Amino acid sequence: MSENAKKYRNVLIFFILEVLAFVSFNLANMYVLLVMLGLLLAFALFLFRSEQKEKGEKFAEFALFSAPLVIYALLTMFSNFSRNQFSLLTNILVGIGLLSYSCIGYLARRIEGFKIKNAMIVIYGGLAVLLLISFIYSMVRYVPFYTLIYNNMYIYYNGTRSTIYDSIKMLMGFEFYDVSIEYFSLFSTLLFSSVVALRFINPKNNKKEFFTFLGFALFGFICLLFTINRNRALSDALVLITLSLIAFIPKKNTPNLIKYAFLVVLGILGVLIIFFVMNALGEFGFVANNSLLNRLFNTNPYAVAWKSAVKTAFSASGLLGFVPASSSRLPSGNFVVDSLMTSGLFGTLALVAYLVFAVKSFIRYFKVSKDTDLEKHLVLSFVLIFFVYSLFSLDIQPYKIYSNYIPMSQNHSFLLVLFLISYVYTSPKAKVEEVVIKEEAVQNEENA
Amino acid sequence: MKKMPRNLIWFLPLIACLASCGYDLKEVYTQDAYNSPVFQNNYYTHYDSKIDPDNENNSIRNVREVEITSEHNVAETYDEAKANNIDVDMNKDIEYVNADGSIKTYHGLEYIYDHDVKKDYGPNKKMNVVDSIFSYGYLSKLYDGQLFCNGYYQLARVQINERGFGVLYEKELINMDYIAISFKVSVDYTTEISVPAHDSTFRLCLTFYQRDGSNFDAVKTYHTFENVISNQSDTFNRSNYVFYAFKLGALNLSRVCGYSLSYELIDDDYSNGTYQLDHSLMFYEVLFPNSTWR
Repeated sequence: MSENAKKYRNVLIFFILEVLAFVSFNLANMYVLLVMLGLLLAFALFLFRSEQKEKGEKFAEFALFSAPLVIYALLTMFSNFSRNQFSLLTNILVGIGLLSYSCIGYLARRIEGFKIKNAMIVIYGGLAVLLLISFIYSMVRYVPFYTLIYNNMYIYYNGTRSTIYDSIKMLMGFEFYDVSIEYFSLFSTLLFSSVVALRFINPKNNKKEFFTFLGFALFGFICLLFTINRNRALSDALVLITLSLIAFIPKKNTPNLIKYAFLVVLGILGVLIIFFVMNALGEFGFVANNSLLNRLFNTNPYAVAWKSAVKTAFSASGLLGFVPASSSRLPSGNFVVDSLMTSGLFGTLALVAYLVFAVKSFIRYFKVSKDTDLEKHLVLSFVLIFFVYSLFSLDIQPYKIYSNYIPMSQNHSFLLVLFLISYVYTSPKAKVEEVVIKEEAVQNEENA
Repeated sequence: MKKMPRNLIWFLPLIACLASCGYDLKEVYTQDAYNSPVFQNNYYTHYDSKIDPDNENNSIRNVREVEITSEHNVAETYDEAKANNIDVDMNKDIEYVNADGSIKTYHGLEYIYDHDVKKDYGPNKKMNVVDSIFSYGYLSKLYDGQLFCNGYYQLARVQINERGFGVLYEKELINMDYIAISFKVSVDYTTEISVPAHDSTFRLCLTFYQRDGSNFDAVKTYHTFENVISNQSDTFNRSNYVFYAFKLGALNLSRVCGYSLSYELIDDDYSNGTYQLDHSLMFYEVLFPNSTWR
């Protein structure tokens, strides 16, 4: 590579890290700004890639991999929900943003010298700064453990009564807003997910790195602990189980873990989904007659919201998304169910298809990539924890005073997830020789 | 690793400091506080202890009484406020041009329109944009720009009995123009099958507290409202609301840091002395338009 190309490469790597930092910090709380930065960066990376004339892997393969994401983006942009809630310009920018960050992830990995570990540190650092400011301000305005101390109590602010235990003050742009604990905790949980790194770093050999990740994980844990909330209990439990599996399962078994876990989840989900859909459409009368099934599928708060979404999504007016009725208990907290609302039925199917492709890509990534185990597990942890948390606690209407929506497609951490999923993309034709190189790298790391 | 205990040690005072804050938690309430279906449970009677009339050791040293009359440009309705050059332009059909160019016509008291800045009166003059001290606490309901019930019932208003309430603020009123209060009269009907709309007469006492060192001088202003409609449902012209406004200049006020509202019921046409009813004034907004607090 020529000297100019090396300098250009270094600038690009810095630009990538800078954009990731801005995204994780949710700079100015302006989605349009993050999209513009992403678009510029993607364009620059494309130019660099063309300049380098890389051989072998074809972009068309990645484009095919991203096809479901393109469909999801299009259907989200023009869903009934998006057209009702946001302007045309915002909707178009959402689509551009999703695809830009997806491209950035793919192209970033193919830049020589780009280290995903540095990107993860930057991402965690951005999240940590955002959370630190919000956390300290919230603890000043409230007190530590206020969610427990003031359970079922109310305060008045600007004439509006609101509960204390389920809200927190978060920096959104240049002001603090009262948002739900679940929304704040998404970022705390993602920061806490860096704890898996401690399994792969020897503190004697690499003290600085160890304490960096320890600091991130500890702060994420403190944020979660000081704002402990019963609404989040199920998500917290699932996150802890997932992190334990990622951290403690033998490294060589991780690809199999992903594969079998995915198959098990798919199998269970598949049965559940069929069952749920039929029950929501009124086909399974015996569910109501059985107390356990009735509690599971009819009367618990999740079931009420999920049923409402499924019923509406399977109607002519809701097929391409819908604005929820106030009685529907939507948003539900589940990213799949909420995407029935924000992206419609077909958009949701496209999203699920994309995630299926992502799982397969992760398995190939673990098998053939030259990245270290630390890097692989950090990426896996971030992406997996985002979706595990979003099974029950993703709040897309986070403001306590306003009814504005921040759907998953406009959540800045979802842009990071797309970046990482695309980073992980490995062609099915990836060469096996890279496995030898990986083993040597691991050996060198252990000796160090 | 040896540094770890030292780092933890200074972390503990930080936690202790944070634990001693809690500015937003000075006033916390249960769900039913002042939000009960039982009328009598919703009276707000809180006074800051330094100005509580029932506190023998309160800090009020001097009391001056003023009867609010026409020389204070007093208004009891929006019509009168306009006539007294209190800057409210209302009680007529207002044509408002929306952002998309369409014109919406508002009738009478439904929409209080500030003709100078062409914005809603309440949201434009509300106190929580004047200073953030009015954003917190139960009384922030009086500073949110909502002049009428609008279907929010107990959540929108502060209901008082004759004792009333009193509040002190850390800041003092520096520049003052006039005060305006939006309220209506309501009488309990849970003990009766229904109490029809009727008139009541009462003497409202609005007291300003001027800081004098660690003590306070009280300036009690009185105004008698005769035959005010009570228990009438809201209509489109809001004729059951009272808009009480008067200029503050003639009162020679300085270092005002709080106020209280109370009243004396003189006559209620429905009870007419034959049986006891629970009487209340329901306040929706207290405004000090064009004021500065420091």
